[in-house]
Amino acid sequence: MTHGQEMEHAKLEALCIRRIAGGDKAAFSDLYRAYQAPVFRFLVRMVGATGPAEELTNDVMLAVWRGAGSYRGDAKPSTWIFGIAHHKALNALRQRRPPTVDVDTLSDTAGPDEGPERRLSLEESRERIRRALAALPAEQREVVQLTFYHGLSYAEISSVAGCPVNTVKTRMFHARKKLQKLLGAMGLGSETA
Amino acid sequence: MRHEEAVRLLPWYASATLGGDERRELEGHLSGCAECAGELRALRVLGADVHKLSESVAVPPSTLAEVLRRIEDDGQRSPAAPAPPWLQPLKERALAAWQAWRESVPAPVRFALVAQLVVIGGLAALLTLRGPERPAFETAAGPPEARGARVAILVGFVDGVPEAVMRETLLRIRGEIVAGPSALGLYTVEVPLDPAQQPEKVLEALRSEREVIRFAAPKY
Repeated sequence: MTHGQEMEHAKLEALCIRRIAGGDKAAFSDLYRAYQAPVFRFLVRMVGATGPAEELTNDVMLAVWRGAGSYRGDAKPSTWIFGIAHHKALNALRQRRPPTVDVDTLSDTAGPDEGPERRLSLEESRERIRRALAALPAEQREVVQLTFYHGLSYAEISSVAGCPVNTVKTRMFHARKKLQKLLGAMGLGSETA
Repeated sequence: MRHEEAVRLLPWYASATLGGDERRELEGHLSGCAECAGELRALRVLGADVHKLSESVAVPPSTLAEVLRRIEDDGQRSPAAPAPPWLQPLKERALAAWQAWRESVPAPVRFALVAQLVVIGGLAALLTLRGPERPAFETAAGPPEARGARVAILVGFVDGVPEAVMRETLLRIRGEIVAGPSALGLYTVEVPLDPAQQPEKVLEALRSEREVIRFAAPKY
């Protein structure tokens, strides 16, 4: 998507939120369909398991409905929605034990023409990346996820996490150092470290 | 740009979200710093890995209906659902009329009236449940086409795209608009689900047509 298209999309979403503030459930349904997957995937990375992430996704979307009237439009709708997801995730993490491995989270994305050895290697590599990310503090994991999967700039992440931009850069710097160490120890150092 | 600052900005250069001046300054630094060039390569690999890992997370079926039910249950937009002030006297008058009717009408007559209402309600339900009427006529084209498995996707067209181009794009994927445009200007398009046309491939093809398509996503 070009920058112009992104801006146009953000404008449409902002309009949608204004309609939600007026009680428009069709507009809410549209926004839900657009954000269910990205918010769920963000929350899975943050809380480490699909069940709680699914519940939290519903909570986030319900908060969008309730809080639509408070959306001022000075941040992109995606930044506002991820900001809500950020608070829900951190609250959930404060209230429960460390996450356990959730194998159901992973679905097979290896191509049908890839042999069993290649498939195993992809799965192993994916699992190592997942474990390395899970070993990071939540705030650092969040910066990595929002940067590399959701495509947010450091300024947008600062708005989502409610911290100064320098803190975002510092979190990424430390995350990078830890990942280098962890992935190096797991034998993935040559490519990613 | 100082090396330390360049190192701190590299992740957002790798993810293509670094803006204007910073990007140009960083590119200037990168051209003469082998260490940063190496770090950039590693960050791009990490970014691709994080992306693949996230894409591998299976998204659960939509729970939109559940969220909408919670909204209804919460009485959102009508907090605690108190009757508006103008309705309060009406509500009180209706209650008073019901009480007066109960006291003035003998019990057997009340039961007879309720029984009549039940019979009327039953007949209305029967009429509703009879299902669609057979059409009074059929088209020369014969019986309705048998439809195989189909999958719904959400599609947004770039503003100003001519109708002929939209039609051509839809014909290429054998898509049919079944709903829309929504509040976001998105159309629900159904496409046949067969081995030659997997939904991921359809979405990929649509997203590659940036001049025509501004948004394409699965409809959960």
